[in-house]
Amino acid sequence: MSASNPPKSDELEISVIGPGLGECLIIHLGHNEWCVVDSCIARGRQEPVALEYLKSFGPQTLNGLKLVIATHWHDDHIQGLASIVAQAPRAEFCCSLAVKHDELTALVASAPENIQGRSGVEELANILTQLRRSNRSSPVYAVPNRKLFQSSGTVPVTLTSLSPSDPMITSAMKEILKLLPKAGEPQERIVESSPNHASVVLWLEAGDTRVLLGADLEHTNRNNEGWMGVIAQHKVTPPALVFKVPHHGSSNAHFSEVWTKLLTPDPLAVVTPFARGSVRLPRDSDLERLAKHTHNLFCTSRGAGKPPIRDAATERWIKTQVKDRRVIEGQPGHVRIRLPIQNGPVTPSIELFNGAYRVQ
Amino acid sequence: MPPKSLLTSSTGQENESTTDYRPEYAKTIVRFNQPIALDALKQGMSDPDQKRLAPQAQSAALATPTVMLDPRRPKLTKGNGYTLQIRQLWEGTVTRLHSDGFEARLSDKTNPNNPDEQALFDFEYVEVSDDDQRLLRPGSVFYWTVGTERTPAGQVKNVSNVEFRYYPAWTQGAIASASTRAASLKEWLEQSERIKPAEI
Repeated sequence: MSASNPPKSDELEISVIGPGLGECLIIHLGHNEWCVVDSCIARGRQEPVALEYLKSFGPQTLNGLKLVIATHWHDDHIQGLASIVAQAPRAEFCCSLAVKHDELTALVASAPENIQGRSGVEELANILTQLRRSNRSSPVYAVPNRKLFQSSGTVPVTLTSLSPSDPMITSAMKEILKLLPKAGEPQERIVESSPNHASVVLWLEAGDTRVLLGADLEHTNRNNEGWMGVIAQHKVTPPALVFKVPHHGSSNAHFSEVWTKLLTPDPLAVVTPFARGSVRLPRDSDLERLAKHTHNLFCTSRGAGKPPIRDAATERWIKTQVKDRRVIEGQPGHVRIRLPIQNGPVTPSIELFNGAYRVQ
Repeated sequence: MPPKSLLTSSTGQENESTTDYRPEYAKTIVRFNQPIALDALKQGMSDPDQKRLAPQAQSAALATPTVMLDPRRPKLTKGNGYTLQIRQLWEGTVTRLHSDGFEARLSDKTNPNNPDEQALFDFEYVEVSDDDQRLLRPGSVFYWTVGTERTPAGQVKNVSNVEFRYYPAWTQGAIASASTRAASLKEWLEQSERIKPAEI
């Protein structure tokens, strides 16, 4: 089974790629029109996984890339996105409305003078600089119920943002404020530690098929924020058959009403792992919880593998000084869902590549 | 571009011949207690690199106890009989602080082909100097070296050292400059109101 056979013209594809740190969604909207949501780079590779995948269908595929979306600025979701934007000059760039707020603008503007290297803010700054320098359009801003894409085909395909709402952005900005440089404080590498309140959740409709892409949005238990905010503002439509589970399956992104109000029974759910941080996500308990909601749960990767073994003396130092250690970059596990763009019931095909697996 | 010099002067002044073009991670500073002889500094350097040593840098080398190593090529460096061979070097970025330790992302600078790792350091086992304690915060960068040290008396011991990098503080001027860039960026971002809210 090869991942390099392109979808048919009238096929919807949702590819979820997650190497262990980060995730990338590649969506075929029909008629060689594509959308990339977030970006990551596989271990030892230079190009983002989205570019490698799209180029495997032929160089002309990039001409069909219509929309590049950054759901939020955390480095596990945005690494390599500037490269995608650069190589897809016809694509529009979409991000959260939060980027227009003073706090995030100030943080982005400070990026060049902070310590460089793998910071999501740095990547966002690169994207915006690139757009400005090449006289491309400024971003399309995602807010609740904003249509970002509409196909011209006979069966309509639309992509709509469901977040972030104003209260979500306000919460996010409070966290961003803490990261802004202050006179006298040392320069540092900007590392995200804030919750993902301003994440862009997406709703895709293709004929009668609905898809919910949860980004990293968390559940805050506050009205109008997080998943409660999305449900409050979402207009009732038929529920979604496909679900990209938010925030790597973590319990703080779980809100059971999402499963009952926005999703069909037993939806196709895909989760990507997150190997950095205190706890590796998803935990076993997360997978058990998710599996209670669907028998069709898939994960892009089991993990990034064992750390490399170094010489004996170095290994001894590692063991004495480091309590816990794990590799955070792995192979790009890939869950690919394809289904015909049509009205009426559809039978999706599911393909698994590079270590992606079905959760039993 | 190849490095023009492996040296910096103790005064921090640089001229064209002492500008170091290597990436930041390659500029690890290993401190010794004694001044380092020029011959020791030249050891392991290629001939062109040695020729590029400016006279000022050469005299500075005799006065300064600081030598820059290229961590990608572990080598033996001498200083008045002290030797240190670096076997392993990581660049770490602190990602989170805990009461009993800190989390960091480690990039292997000895073998860049190795994947990045997430590590949890325990204060009980990792010595962070008092000076470095104040640098310990999310986003700060450190180097972790593991190597073998030989004393003038011939003692050999394995050593491990976590050393935080000192970066210049944000100045009022730099903040003002960032504010100007932010205002310009915002003006450009405000141009986009092309997509109108739509019904779904």
